[in-house]
Amino acid sequence: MIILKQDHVKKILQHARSEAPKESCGILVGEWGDVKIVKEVHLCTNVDAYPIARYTIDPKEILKIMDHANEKALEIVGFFHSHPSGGSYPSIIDSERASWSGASYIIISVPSGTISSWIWDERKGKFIEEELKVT
Amino acid sequence: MEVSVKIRREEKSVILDEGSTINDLLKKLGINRETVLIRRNGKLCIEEEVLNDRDSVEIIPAISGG
Repeated sequence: MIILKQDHVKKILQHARSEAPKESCGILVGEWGDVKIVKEVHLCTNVDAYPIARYTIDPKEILKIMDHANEKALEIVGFFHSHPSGGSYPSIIDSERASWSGASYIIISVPSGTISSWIWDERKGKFIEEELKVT
Repeated sequence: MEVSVKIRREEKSVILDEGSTINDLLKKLGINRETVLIRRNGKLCIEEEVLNDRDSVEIIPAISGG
């Protein structure tokens, strides 16, 4: 399960809408126990060459946020990206490029505003839906 | 020689031959150079760099999808 605040979801949705028709993306920092608790949502730059249908988080921002999280005794618990015209479920490309096993990949659908969380299971080579709770 | 490697949340020690490079380490771990960022002793580095005993290497996978 991953827990976010209402403000976090609002921030993610606003970013997704403002970046459309490009995919938006970002990093979730928080506490990673049996349950992941998101403390911070970091909006990131999509540096992919084809941002309409792909996202790649700027590597420099990943490092900066990782170091920031370490300083605060937190960690990267997941990421989010948007589907400007699709649903809130992983695409084929999402599966091909997934790399952080166990992390939460949150996907937001811009058309419907729905938001879902998926865990990448490296061994099974697929995403498994995760309970997402908004407080 | 022995280097400590951190990949995401996992930390481990890896034994390598003297004079091994970052590239040799990635090959040993089966990691595609194109999909990761690498820091050696806290600094971004390139794959040709030769590692020293007790170096700490952080491998950060790119975050991408569609």
